[in-house]
Order: sequence, then structure tokens, then C-alpha cells
Amino acid sequence: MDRTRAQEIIAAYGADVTRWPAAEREAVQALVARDASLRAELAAAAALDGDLALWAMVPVRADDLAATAAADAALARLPAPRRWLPAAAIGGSIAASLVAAVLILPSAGSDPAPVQVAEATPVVAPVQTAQVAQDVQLWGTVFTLTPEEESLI
Amino acid sequence: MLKAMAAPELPDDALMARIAHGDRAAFRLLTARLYGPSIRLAAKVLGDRAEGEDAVQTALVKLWQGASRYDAGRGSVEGWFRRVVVNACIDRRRAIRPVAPIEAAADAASPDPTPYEAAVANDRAARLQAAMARLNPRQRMAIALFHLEGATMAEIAEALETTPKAVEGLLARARVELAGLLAGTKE
Repeated sequence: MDRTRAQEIIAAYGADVTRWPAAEREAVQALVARDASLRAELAAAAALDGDLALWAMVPVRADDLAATAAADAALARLPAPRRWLPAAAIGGSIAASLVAAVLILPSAGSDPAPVQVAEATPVVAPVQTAQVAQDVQLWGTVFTLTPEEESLI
Repeated sequence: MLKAMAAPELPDDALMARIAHGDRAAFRLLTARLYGPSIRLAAKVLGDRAEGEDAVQTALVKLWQGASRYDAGRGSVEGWFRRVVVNACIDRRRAIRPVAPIEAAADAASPDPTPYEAAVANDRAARLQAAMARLNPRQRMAIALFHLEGATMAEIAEALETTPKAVEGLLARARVELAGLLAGTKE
């Protein structure tokens, strides 16, 4: 404990010794007892404490009626409270969406529907039909497992 | 919704859980518990009852909207709501200016005829209120929490989202400034 720290404590906490940090209280009191200028600072702090105590004592009305009025006024302004989904639920939703996307997209791509469309609608231009057949063949190449690949599963 | 347990027996965090599900009765009950300390703090800090009511109103709106995010493991409902009120007051203080110069407070008269001592006390309180209006919002809040609420440095630090050491500095600067302002009005 040095004089500077004693000044800091008096400046921040005021003159009420019971509000000072318990661990430093005795040391500050001992320093004040030996130091006239610290005693002067303590007296000035006590005067300000007195003003602050008066200020704090001026009453502010806070009865049940006022509380009820405040609650009702707040409720009148409000929608239902926000519901925040737990993080796990949000993560689960995202994971489920990703799984669904993985399952749906490849099956859509390998769907032989274009071939059926070509058969059912002979008005489709030959170039388009050829293109569809080529796509189906390409999908088949990419997504059909070879016997070696199947043996690995 | 409060039939399962007599209302006064419900702890604050149980009320918060009900509020999160839209229970208006729980909201009214919790407001009744929190309103007194909150309006006293807000009205003192803002120096005006109506401003204080607006700040508490803002805080109550946030309580309703944020009830589901309240985590009992991180502190009491009272402490959580005090932080919300503190922030509402600081936000309002940034938006408003002191309504009267501190010099005018020296002439402030009590509204009712009072004994001499009471008049002197009123005058001192009025001068201090005017001086408080000159402080920055965080200094003012630190003073109010320490001298009005009797809060510890740790509690003030939590409310202001800073460290106890920083609060010491904040309080010391606020007190020096207040003393200077009050000394100026006594001349």
C-alpha cells in the first residue's frame, strides 16, 4: 500500500471505510492516520458523500400501480416474444436439408425420364433427342459403378 | 398460465421461462418485482421521472422479446434486467441534453414551504442533480449504482460490461468532476 493507492481508493470509493476494498482497508486507514493531506482528501470525500446521500434519498415513486401500468404499456406495444431455436435444432435442420439435397439431385440427374419423354413425344426434334440420349449415356458413365467399384462397397 | 403454482412463489427465472412462451401474467408479475429498483435507478440517472419511465419501458420491451435468451447460469434475472436498464439509460443519455444549466439549480426552490433544513437539503440535492447532468452517461451510471444502489465494484463492472479496476477510475473521475461542479455553484 502506498500513498497513491490510498488516494485512488478515497477518490473512487469516498470516505465510507466500509465501502473500501476489505483487503486494503486497514492499510489505507493506517496511511491516513499518518498523513494530514490524506485526511484532508478524506474530509473532502466525506462532504461529497453527504451530497450524494441527500441526492439518493430524494424519493422516486414506484408503486404497484405504476408497475402494472408499465407492464401493460409494454405489452400493448409488443408482438409475441421471439422464439430462438436451440443451436442443435438449427444444425439438425441444415444437416437434414443437405442430406435431402444429396439424395434428390443425383437421382434427378440419372432419371431416365428424358428417354421416356422422347418416346412419348415423337414431335421432339431429332437433335434434341440425340442430345438427351447422349446425356443419359454420360450420366450412366459417371454414375454407374464398375464391377471393381462395386466390389469395394 | 400461472395456475400450477401460486404466483408469488414462482422464482424469477421460472417467470422468465413462462414469458419466453408468451405468458403475459408472468410478465406482469416479474415487472412488479423489477419495476421499483429500475425506475428509481433510471429516474435518478436520467434526472427526470418521465425519461426514467421511457427507459424502463424500453427495457421491459427487451425483457419480453429476449426472455428466451436469458440464461440462468450466467446470473440472476435482477442482474440481467439491471444491465438492460443501464444500457437503456446510457442510450437515452446520449440522445438528450441537460435541460437546465447547473447555475440555475442554485436558485431552485422547493415546490412546498418547508423548514429551513429541508430547503437547504433540497437545494443541495438539486445542485447535485444538475451537476450529475453534466457527467458522461457511464460516469453517471457508475455513481448511481455505487451511491444509490450500494452496488459493489464487481456488480457495477458487470452492469457496465467492464472491469472493476475500470469502474474505480470511472468513479474517481466522476467524483472529481462532481466536486468541481458543486464548488463552482457555491461561489
